[in-house]
Amino acid sequence: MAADKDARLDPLARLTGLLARLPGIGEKSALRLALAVVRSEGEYVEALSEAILAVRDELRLCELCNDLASATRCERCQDARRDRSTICVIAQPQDRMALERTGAYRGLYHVLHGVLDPLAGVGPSQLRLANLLPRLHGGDEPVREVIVATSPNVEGDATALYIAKLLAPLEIPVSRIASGVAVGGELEYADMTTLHRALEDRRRL
Amino acid sequence: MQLRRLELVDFRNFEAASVAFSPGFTVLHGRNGAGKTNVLEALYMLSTLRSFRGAKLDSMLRRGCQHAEIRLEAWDPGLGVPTQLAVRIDQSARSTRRSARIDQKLIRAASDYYGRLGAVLFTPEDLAILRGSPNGRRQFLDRVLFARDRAHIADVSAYEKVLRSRNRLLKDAQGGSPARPLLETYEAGLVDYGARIWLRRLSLVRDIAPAFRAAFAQIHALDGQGSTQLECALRYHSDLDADPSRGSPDRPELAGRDARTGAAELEDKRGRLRQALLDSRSRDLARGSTSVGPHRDELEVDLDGERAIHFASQGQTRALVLAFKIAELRQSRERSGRPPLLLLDDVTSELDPRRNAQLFEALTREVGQCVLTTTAPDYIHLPKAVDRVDLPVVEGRIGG
Repeated sequence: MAADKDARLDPLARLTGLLARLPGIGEKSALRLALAVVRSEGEYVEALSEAILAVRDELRLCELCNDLASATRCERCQDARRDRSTICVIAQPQDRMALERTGAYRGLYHVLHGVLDPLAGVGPSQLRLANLLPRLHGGDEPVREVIVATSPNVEGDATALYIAKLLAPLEIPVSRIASGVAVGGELEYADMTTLHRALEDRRRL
Repeated sequence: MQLRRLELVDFRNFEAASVAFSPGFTVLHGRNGAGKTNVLEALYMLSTLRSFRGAKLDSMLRRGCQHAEIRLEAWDPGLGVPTQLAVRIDQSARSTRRSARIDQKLIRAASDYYGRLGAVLFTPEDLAILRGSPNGRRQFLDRVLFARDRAHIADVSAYEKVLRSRNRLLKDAQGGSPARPLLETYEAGLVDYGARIWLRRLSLVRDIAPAFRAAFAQIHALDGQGSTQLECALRYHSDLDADPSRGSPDRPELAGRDARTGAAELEDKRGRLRQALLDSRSRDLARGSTSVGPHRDELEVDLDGERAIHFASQGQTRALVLAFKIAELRQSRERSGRPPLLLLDDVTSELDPRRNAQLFEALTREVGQCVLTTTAPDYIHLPKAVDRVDLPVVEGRIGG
């Protein structure tokens, strides 16, 4: 039977094959990871397999912000100390992680799980936008600003502009994160497009 | 940049070959398929990091090879030192990449490399531009602009992506209408990128138009038809300029480099584009594509008040394209202070000897160094004073 045949597959080849399906992992890296698992000691392998099952079974999307959460609401949406009057719209959960590392933002998030790209078949209905509007009029505290933090490329710019247009009737200020010269970098090494944009997005001192 | 010596390793049909250039004209001659044009392609790669034939990197590797190298020894007159430019092509299991070095130093950003070796190319295919598709003429302008304004490359590729996105929305609407905010989003992108592309192309045409007229008159006179004075004009045409109700057409006096004028003109273009996109929305929905914008503009060439595309003879077409190239050369020399390298691919094939001699007399006045290919070196008549080196190209070998 097919299942029996699968079970008799070389276990190392099977693990390598499965790991190689992950993004950013090629055949060689997959083999190195698999061999590391083979050689691992103690309860590492049990912990690893449990952790893999746990992200599947326990993680869901926060009902408010669509971020990954282990409860109905994510940690940030549950945190009473966070500023509920600002919402930062981002494309992916990893963007939230990057912003959190800065420690400079204390508001809430809204994760779209994608950016607008008609050429790839991604329109507004493919983004998790439906639950953004209710957050803006409902809620105990009024939202005073929406910050769109999508990447500065064609898709990210279009997504930001679309959200701004969508929210225009609500008269809530929508802002876009600045883009331009990298901090700590030298002006002379910045590429033309970046410098051009930095000049356009200049601010008064 | 004064070319001295080129070395090719596993590039196209050359296993290991080298060319020592004349300070004036280097004439590469040989039968068809010997690899003459490959030498020009290598020099063009050193100038722009791409093939003028639109060839993929893989196809530039010699058969069975995974690496190729193009090395140029040159003299940098600005610094007064010898300098070396090199482009390598490396094929691996996953991809084929090119890398550029200046004096053995790896240059990571292509934009830091461009402009090191300025070159103007003239191939027989250029003759088809004037009579070919409007898109070919727009690309022709864009290629000139890529060399002088690096931001133009990014704007053109972003504009094309936004345009395809809006077209997809229009097509997907299928009789209905896509959400207005979504359309407006992509229209805003078209306005941003489109106005900059429009204005840059327009400024280029304005900049070279006088030199173009002068060069044409000169070539035309050389052609022995000087008695009948033909007026020629080069124009960048946009439908959005043609409507008199939307303000005055472009006035040449606006061509100045005054920054405030430039900003005002850009704002004017943005306004026209925004309005035109709005006005054409229902029509665009019906046809499923975007009917206004710089992707519909035209480079127009008039001869005695008529569109040359419909009316110019073969000889006149050649003279017009050549005039454009000479204008580009003069413009490049004015901008950089030095005459650029001229690459001529097989242009003599369809010319009679007398016209040929006159053509080269005109060219020698414009360029410092020229590398050209021909099947018949006897047809190349250069003035006596010009330094000339003739090199036969035979089956992957160059020179004696």
